[in-house]
Amino acid sequence: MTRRRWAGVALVALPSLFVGALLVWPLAVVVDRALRPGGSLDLTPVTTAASDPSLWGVVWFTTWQAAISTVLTLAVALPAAWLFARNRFRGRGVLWALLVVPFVLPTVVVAAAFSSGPGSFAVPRGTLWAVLVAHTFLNYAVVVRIVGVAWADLADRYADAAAVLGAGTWQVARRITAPLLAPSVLAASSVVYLFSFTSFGVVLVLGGARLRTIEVEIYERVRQLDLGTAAVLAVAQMLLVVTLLWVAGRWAQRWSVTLRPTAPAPRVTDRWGRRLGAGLVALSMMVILGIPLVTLVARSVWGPQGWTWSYWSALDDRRGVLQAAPLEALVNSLVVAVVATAIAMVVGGLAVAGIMSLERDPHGSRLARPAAFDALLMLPLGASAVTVGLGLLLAFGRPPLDLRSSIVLVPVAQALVALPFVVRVLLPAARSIDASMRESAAVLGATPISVVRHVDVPLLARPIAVAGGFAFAIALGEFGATLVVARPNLPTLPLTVARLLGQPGALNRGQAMAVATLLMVVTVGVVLAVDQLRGGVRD
Amino acid sequence: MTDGARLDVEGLDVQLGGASVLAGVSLTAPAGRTTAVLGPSGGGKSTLLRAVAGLIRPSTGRVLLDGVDVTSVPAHRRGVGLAFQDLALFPHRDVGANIGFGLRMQGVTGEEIARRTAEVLDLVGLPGFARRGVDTLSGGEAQRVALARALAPGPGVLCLDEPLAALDRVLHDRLVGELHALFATVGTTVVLVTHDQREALALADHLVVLGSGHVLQAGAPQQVWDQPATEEVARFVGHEVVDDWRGGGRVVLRPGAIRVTGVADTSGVRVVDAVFAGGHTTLTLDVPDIEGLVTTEVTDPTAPQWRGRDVTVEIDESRLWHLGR
Repeated sequence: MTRRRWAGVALVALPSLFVGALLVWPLAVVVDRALRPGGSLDLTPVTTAASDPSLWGVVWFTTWQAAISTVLTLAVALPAAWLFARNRFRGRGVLWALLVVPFVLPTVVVAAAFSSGPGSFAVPRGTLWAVLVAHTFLNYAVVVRIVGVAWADLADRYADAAAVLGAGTWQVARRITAPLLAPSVLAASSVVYLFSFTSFGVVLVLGGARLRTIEVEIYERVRQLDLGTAAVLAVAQMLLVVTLLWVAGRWAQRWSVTLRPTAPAPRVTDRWGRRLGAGLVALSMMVILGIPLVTLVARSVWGPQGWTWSYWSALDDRRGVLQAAPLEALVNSLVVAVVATAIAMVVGGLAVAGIMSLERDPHGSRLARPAAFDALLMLPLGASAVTVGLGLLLAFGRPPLDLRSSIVLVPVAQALVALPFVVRVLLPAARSIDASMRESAAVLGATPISVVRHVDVPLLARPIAVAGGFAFAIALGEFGATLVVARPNLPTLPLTVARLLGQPGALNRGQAMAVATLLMVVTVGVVLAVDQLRGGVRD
Repeated sequence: MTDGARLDVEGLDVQLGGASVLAGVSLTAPAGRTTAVLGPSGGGKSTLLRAVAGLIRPSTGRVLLDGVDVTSVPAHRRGVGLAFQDLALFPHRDVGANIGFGLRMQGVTGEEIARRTAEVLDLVGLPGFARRGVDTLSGGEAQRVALARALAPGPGVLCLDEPLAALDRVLHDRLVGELHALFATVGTTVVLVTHDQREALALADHLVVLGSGHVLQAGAPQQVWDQPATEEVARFVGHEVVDDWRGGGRVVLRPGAIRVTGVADTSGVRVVDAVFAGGHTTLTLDVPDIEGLVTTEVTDPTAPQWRGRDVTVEIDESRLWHLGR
């Protein structure tokens, strides 16, 4: 092995150990618990679960609500993607930056905005409607950003080429634009479907007693201490997710086209019909993006007797239903999120450095394949948050290592959930650094370490800040895994919101809105600041 | 193969984003012949082709095909072919489907499309390429496919936007020869836009020089070359221009204007630089009475060593072209 290869292997060792011990091992324990509850192969929990019609109902609901959520999201988001890709207008950059808001907003915050009670608009149509609308809101930005970027890259050249060859507007849309956009629409749809399929916070808060996704059902079983069924469901969900990803990957391969991106040149919106359309879409975007903001803030200061500050003034009050005052929860949240971010950044940073080092090795062997390692780091995305929490609970909740009463599992769980995002931000940025830049530095006399210091780190400073900001926002809003592993007397903000929403009474509801508003302000503030840093608004 | 249409452009004004790109451009492309539009980058050449093809509407002026005003006919019904500078081959279609696209839009049946596609592929020298993916093509092959795609529907006028700009020198020169033969075979009217005067002179029956949105000169290539109307045109076609020739104003030096007759150390004509270029050596001379430096070519084998020496020269007055002050 070359020295560089040794360096690469050493760099991936720590992240591998982290993911291995804190994710792969716990997931193995979950599988073990499902298939060998008594220490030997025993399919009783599996057959019991399989013969329970209510569980099949849960699986069926999970499947179709995700499908409807995806279709609704596409219907609302595709016009917005067109707006960004094909039109130049004032405020375009600001609107594009604001798009990050629904994506990073904690699910409980969104659930709070769409929950029933005074001031809610979603409820008259029932809880199912509330769930679907919340999913559409959360995933809106995914579709707009993925499809919007691809649509802008198409520019006008293919449409122009087709027009010159005799294709009218409809033919261009059908034979050129639609097939060229299909891969990005498919990619966005599969992400939306996956997120809706494993949706937890929204369904837990808004679904009431009737509507449950598999993810919610796992949590309910954990709460009832029916860990066997929980483990069976977790395994089933992992299998379904893997199947979904595999099918989406196959389609993506079949539909893929290589686009040579050109400088996107959105047209100045000149014709009146087009202006009207663009205006309506922009207006709908502002309404959609503004919904949670406005409803949350309004409902936090509006009670049965009219305007009131009482929900906000009670934030430092530890009342009956809460084991900690919301302001204490805020402090918990911030501390835990900072620790989780630090863990995710160190692990993710080392992992990216390792992958880069292995990729640059011209004599790569099949033993340490960077692609396999990359996939390992994506594992937390596939294994849902509640499953991650369940795994940690099962693996470290029994002798010899019982960490259940300790707080360390919370930042660890949050770091695991944030890790894939850190890697996805850092890795493309690291890859985009031109090899010739490193080579010039080396030729000018820089040692490998000075190359890292003087070339890689300065060029990656912004991606590192962006990754850190995202990790922090994700940790701050993380709900599923945190709910499973957190101790009741040390809650985070999202847990406090959910707890308050689960209680009757105007005071609890109003306070939930105030806490959710607080959480929203902190998250959006961090992410928008980071988005400014990125400066990558395509304008 | 096709009967070319005569193209007339009359008083074309085009504004893009508030800036005037073409101002009062008029030109004629004779039917069945090749017209080259020569001009520097950013001179409005591509815009002219887009207006001819119907992709942009001029603010004033007309486009006529065989005398029929088509200015308001949309691109997809105009019957003008256009091969784009960046090719814009459809990435989701193979070579055959790219070439057959125009025929399909005309409602031609599958068998006929396959036959015509094969025919056009033969014509551009890519037989058997129909099932290839467009991302597997080399630069020269992609260029030919783009040409074949524009040719396939049999357009009355075929516009080519910098068809050879992206190719390396050897391939470029070979394709110039091939295009020349191809245009003669096809018989369609060709309007070719380029910034390369060698390409324009080699391919054109009719030459139009375009600069900053205006037609500077139009005519037979030989005529434009011999009698450039302005200093700008003279430079585009590759001549040297002397600002003040012995007090007589600006003069274009056509090849052969200054002939070096020998080395003589007291002639006063100093060789400032000598650059060996293979078949000849390019000398940069400082000639008394002539403002600025001038260049000339000599074939003497010792010429590369002449730097810093004096030479005797002979001026061939018939190779000078006076532009006046």
